[in-house]
Amino acid sequence: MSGPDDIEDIEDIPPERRDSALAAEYVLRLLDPAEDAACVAREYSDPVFAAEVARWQAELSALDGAFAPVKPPAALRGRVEERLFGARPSALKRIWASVWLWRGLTALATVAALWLALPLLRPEAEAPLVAAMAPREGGGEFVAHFDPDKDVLELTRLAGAPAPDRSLELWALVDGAPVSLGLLNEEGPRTRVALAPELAGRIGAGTLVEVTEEPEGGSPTGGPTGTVFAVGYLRDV
Amino acid sequence: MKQDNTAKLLARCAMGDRAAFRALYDASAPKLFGVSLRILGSRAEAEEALQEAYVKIWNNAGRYQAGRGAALGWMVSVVRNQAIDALRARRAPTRDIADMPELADAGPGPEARAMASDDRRRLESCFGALPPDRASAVRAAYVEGFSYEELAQRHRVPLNTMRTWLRRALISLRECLGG
Repeated sequence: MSGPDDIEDIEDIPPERRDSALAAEYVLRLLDPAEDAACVAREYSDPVFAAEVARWQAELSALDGAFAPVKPPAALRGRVEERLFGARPSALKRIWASVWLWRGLTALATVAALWLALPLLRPEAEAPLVAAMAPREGGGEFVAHFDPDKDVLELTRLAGAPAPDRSLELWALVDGAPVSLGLLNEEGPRTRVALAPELAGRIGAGTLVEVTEEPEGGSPTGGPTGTVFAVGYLRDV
Repeated sequence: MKQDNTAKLLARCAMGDRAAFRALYDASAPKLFGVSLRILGSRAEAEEALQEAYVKIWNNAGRYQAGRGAALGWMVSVVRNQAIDALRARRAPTRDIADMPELADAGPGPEARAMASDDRRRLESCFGALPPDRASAVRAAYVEGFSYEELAQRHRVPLNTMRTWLRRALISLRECLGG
């Protein structure tokens, strides 16, 4: 009877095939502790072996269909996040710094805009942040004001308007990824956005805010797709 | 190739994006808990292994490389290995094989079907070329985390026979899948 088992002797098999089988046994966790430890070391020192391990892992993952999904207890997510992130982050607290002016805007326009945008400052309040948002080609000018006490971002349009069938959408770059803060108010120059506390906690001095021109109704993808209309960085006041 | 949304979320986790982690958890937790529970059998141990796995996933999110299989598959391998570590650390090293039913393949979900159908078909076809008991042994090693001892017991053959069976089966698979 001939069949796949009738390889005469395991030693007749070329070394690279035996090594490939070893890599598969390693992925399958079949090796004894000493062999397993040796393979862990080889993964770091032998790129050919490491590649074969990765190859087997990718191929055998086609068996993952055998694992039926089971809902874990609801409390587990909180335990994992507590472990990873610790207590809920508070908003950044900055001490007073001098006013930052973007060179493109005239001093008068900037001062007027900032005066309009800033609420009365209370000494005990968390320091608000502002961004003078410079226009890109064909874009507009804005001032953004972030109130960390209320988790509110307010945008004031100074100049510029979108094309007729386009909407302006506001984004903040948070942890390297753009987060949509919604569409700008089309009725007047001010847009007020109430932020979720989690999101507000990750906005601080240095956060980039930008306005893009999107299809009417906003970006269909969840990320910015249109041209940049205005952009600036939030700074301490 | 279809966009791998899980890979995008992992990439954002690598940058410290906590909202991306939550989205990743919500999308993957049932599958990953299923892996942990299948291997460990006990819910308490499976929960613990799942937690450890997610910590590893977060801390190593930047190490996932797109060229080497789907992101969810990478995450499954983290959980599978974590669960097997816990399994091997138990005081009673072998489970009672007689008590474990031969569980039918749950089958891939629609997303897995769409994304991995070529790979899955190729693997199934190569498995089909093996004698059924060898194929079953390889599957059981992967899905249940059985050791050589447990496999030998399950198939009622001596330990060394099982080792030879499995190595030859793996060599055949490698030839079939593409050397």
